[in-house]
Amino acid sequence: MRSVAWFSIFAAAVLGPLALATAIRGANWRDFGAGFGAACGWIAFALFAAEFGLVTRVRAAAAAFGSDALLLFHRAMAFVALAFVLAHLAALAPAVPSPFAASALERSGAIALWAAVILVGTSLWRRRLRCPYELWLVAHRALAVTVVVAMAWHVWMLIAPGETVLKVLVAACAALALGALLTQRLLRPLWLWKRPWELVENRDEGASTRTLVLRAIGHQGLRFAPGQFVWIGTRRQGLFAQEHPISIASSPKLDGGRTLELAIKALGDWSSKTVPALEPGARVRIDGPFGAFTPDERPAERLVLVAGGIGVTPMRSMLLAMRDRGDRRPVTLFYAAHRRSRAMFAGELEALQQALDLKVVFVFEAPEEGERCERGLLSTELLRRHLPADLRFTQFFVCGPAPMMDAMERIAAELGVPSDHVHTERFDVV
Amino acid sequence: MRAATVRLTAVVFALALMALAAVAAWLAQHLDKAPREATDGARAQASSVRDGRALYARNCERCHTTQEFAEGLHGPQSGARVLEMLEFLEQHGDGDELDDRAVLAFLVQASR
Repeated sequence: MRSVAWFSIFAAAVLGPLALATAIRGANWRDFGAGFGAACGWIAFALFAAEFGLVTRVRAAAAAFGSDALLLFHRAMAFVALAFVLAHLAALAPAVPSPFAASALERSGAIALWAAVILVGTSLWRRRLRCPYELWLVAHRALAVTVVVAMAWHVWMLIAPGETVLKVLVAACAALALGALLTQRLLRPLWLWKRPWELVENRDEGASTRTLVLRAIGHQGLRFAPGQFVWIGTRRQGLFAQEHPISIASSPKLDGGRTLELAIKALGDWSSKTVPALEPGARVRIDGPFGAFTPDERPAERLVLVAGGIGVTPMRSMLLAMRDRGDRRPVTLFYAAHRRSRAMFAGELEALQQALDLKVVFVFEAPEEGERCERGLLSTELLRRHLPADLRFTQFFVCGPAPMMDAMERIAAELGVPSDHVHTERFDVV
Repeated sequence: MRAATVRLTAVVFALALMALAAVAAWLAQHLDKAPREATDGARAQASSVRDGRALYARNCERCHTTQEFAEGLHGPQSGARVLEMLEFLEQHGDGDELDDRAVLAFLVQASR
């Protein structure tokens, strides 16, 4: 129900401007084509403005859908919004508008169009363009602001002098979008720096992974559910602060939530350069917790955890939480990696089998001679060998590389697992 | 939430939006339309009115009715409205100052 309510709010935000515009200006649309083009324009404007809301980290919305689902939807809506811009153009513009046109109406439309095209294109092809994530993120925000401001300017010029309600609406949409960005990028970081965390230990876990042990300074720490994640900020630069989503690897009961452990694999500039250089005593900013990737509040007789690579970190949090809570439900952890030397926390996970009703199944692509493990990739047959036939009351949690998670969604269906019992966490959206 | 569910939701939502855009355009066709004919005025203004009418028909008529803009351009309180309309025409569209004044003259005539 929460997700339906939140989706309704989003739909109302997108359709509200169209409804008002149709009621106030609809009589001026001379034919169906002009009306359809105008309607597409209003939808495009409202969609691009509403996109800011999808990534504003409203905790209640993130809890309803999962933060990765919101990111995926944000990405999908960008394509949809661009499609409506193109439909608007096809219906109303005699030619592709030029950003250097004499007419301010055409100029604003052209700026909005090209900014939107570049925004969507750079998001789609960031890796192919070899654009560093941090640089892409700054450009993405700048382009998003350009699109909304140019669109608001374009629509403003089309509104007749007496149509005050529409002017207020356009101004409000643009203001809310930009306000959301300002709140997230400037106001919230400034507030979070008043609740800092201090690095206690920067531990090398092997497999290009480091664990940051953080302690709350001057506050009670964080109350979170196992499997959730936080945004960690390591530089005090306001609008240009580097923030990254990292799953919490420790138990919620560790030091009453005043100590956090974040395991970070070297995958980009920040994780391979900034993180290893952090020294004990360094202050970081933690925003969270976020995410719906947690077994809490999901009744299940059995848990199946499927992890690939660094995807094991939320599973570690879940297993440590079960240990600390005395939760003796049967759990099977399938941990896929290239080989044991690249499997983080392997020894610790094996040791947890003594404290829990836990079975750890390592799945290595290239195991060492004599290694006791499954070989190759995850498959339906492999899981069937280690799981009971009846999985109707089992909750699956899957986290790892996108191809693995895609494969696991298919495998779970083949195993007869209800689709709403399979939970994934994806962050390689861009 | 599974990725497939998110994608399906996005596709369904996009199709619904497209359908609603068409519905809005269709509804707009059935709203009351304003009369499009403009009244002719004094001979001294005939040339400007005709030019203004042509300019209006070419540049404005596709999206705006005459009544929408002509309202308030005639009568004792029309001064402010005339200035407001002139400013709007200057910021809107491709015409130069002469075109704007011709269109304004046409609208003033239409408001009588």
